[in-house]
Amino acid sequence: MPAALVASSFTLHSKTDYSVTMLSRRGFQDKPQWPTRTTSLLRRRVVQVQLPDELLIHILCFLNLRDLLRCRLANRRVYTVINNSLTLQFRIELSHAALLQFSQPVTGKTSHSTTLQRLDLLRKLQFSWRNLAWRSRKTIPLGQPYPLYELSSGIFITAARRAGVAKPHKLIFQELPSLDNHSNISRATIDCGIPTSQVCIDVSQDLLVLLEEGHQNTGLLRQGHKLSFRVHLRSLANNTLHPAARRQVLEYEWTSSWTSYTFVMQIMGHSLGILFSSGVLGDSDFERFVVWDWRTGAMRGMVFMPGSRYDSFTFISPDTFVIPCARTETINVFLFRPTPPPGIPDRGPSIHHLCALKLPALNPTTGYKYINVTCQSQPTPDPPAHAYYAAPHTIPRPKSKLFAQDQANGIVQFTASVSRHARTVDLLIITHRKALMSFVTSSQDALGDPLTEPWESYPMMPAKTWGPDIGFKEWRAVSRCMLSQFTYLANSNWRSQVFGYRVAQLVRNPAETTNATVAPVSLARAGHIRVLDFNPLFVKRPPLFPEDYHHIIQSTVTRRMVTDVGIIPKGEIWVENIESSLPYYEVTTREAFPLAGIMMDEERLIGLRTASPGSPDLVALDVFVI
Amino acid sequence: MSITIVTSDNEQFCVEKLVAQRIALIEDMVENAGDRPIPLPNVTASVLRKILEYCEHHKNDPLPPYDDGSRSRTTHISEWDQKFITVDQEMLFEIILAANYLEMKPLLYVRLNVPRVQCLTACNAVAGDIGCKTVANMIKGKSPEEIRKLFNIVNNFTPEEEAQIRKEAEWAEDR
Repeated sequence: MPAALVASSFTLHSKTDYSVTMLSRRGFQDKPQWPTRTTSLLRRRVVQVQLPDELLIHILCFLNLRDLLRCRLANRRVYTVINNSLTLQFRIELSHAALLQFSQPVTGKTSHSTTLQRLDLLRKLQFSWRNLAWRSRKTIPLGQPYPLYELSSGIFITAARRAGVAKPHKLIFQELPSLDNHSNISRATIDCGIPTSQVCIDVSQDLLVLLEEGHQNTGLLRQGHKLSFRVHLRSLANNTLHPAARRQVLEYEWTSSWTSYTFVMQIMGHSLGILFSSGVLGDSDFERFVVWDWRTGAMRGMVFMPGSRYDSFTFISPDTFVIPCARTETINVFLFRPTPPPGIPDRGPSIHHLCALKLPALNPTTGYKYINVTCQSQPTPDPPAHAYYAAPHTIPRPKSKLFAQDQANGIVQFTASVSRHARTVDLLIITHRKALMSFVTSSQDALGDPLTEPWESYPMMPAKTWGPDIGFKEWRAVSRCMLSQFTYLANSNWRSQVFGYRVAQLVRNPAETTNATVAPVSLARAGHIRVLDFNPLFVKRPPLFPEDYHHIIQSTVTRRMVTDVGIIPKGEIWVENIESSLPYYEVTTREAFPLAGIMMDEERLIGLRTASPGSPDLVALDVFVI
Repeated sequence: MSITIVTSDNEQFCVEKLVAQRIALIEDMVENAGDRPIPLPNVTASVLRKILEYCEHHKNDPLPPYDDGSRSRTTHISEWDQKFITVDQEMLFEIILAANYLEMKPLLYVRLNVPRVQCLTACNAVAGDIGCKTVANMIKGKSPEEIRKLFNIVNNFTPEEEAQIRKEAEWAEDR
């Protein structure tokens, strides 16, 4: 600002000597960009009040990525301000990586306290995922644990075997190497005091869920046996009663004709779901899917259908879930009817079967059948709350995270196994959770007000060749189908695992394209690690990095962008071509690793080693920190 | 207890101390001013009236949480604030500028001895912030031409430059 203007504003407006000294101390030296009354009055005749850069940045901070980048086109000044603001550049990179920043407390020492450091870390992470350039690799022996596994936020949970006792009482919490901690890895054995059949944790809610079987389960049950289950809700920090849960133990029992059974558990928000299914094909009893509100202890609802062969489920929101079904060859979408306010009668069942999406139709002349359909998504990558870290704890806890994945881009993966005699083929179907959700939202609108409309009268959605027509886009545009060649693994979740918007897979031959014809089953144990990235912004933006290490990367991985329409040809198995075109970025290691499965989370890939091929027993983890 | 403030157009305002404490600049000046009126040569009476209306309504609110400027932010505005900020565009910009000048940030940060540089990014946490959110909401979904109109600025890019910038940002446009 010209000195003359400052002076004139003083003479115009200052009434006392005192105010001149005050203003020169505060108003002008500290904020040289403040336009004085004089300038703003002069300008107003020509242009409007001019905002200083600092305020312009503050306003732009409220914008989303698209609006922010559009503002750069306004004029040179705005363009320059955006390009030169570290805060705004950081926000652009953060949105591009589909990450949210985990807010840091004002005080307290953190390793990435400046925006520049955070931006640097963000770019390194992006580069490493793009090129599978891990910064460390470590093998963690597990001994011979009980086959009960859970991975969440850098903690791998398994259970200790004990001779003579059917179910483990002790859980082992194994911390995994992380960005900040490569060597000082903690491990703790926690006595739960109960025989535990299944464990599920949600770090963001400090929740540890233990499933206990109340009956004797020796592997084979009598018909008409009473099955009873107890679900224990505990605080993850210290294995005590959970403070937010009104009831500490949820109970569920029924009389069943099953001779054996399996179960799957998942937590999303206030919903806790458990699917109980028969372990024997063709069992006549009902499969049961039960959802509780774990905070109130009330059962939110139950789904059961006779002999449907439900194998797995996943929440896509706390009020929406999908259950694929092999027998009916469908993916079923369910929705909770909102609870009416007090005084208004409930109009119908609490769970509404919204639709059934047909799986690709099989060729009726060759005798192939869908034998098993599972689904996978990672519902809770939210960062832990500050309160979780503030509480005293006895169980190892994940390190405080800087970034968390934006749930908006999370994906769901369906694995449909098709079989005839000894030959099995796995079809993977990947779609964004938001594609399913937008479909749910539009259907919900069509259902009308849940308080006045009886939802059950709504017809099932008609199925097209493959999936429904989701209004705004064709289904094939929002999904990607591929065949998986690793069919022998003991646990189907191990060969292709989803975290957020990425999929980690083991592949036998890196040159193999995922749409190729079905390869013969192999028991070879070496697999190449492949990561698929379905973040749409990541796929669309040209590489930003100068790729300094280009020659090194080139020799260790192969990368490609897949944007074309993939076709799995009709013929022996399917009656029509399966087309899909959701774009993704793919990177595959040239090196093959002797692994039996793969898992991943936001900062690592975890290779699973078993005693022998096809064995469900883990002996060690190979942790690759990205 | 009350404080007298004099605006740039020489109007005097008598303000309750609790209200004035929401304004950092005035809080600082009160210490030195004693009984003398406090001059605000950068703020007109019409703008100050608006700001005081805001302070009056929010005088008992708890201080807003610290914001380091990089978190994703909500642009939600409460009902009263929405009504308060429904003003013409010039007044809107004047309020933003005045709030910035008056350092209407919560005094908490000053008391906690958070360095001044951090205070600056947390400034405008009150009236100015609502103004900034309102401007941000105006920008949302607008084309570059509409944004220019909003800020009353002209396009000073060459067509080649404009095409280049547009190309750089193609990846973020609708998929």
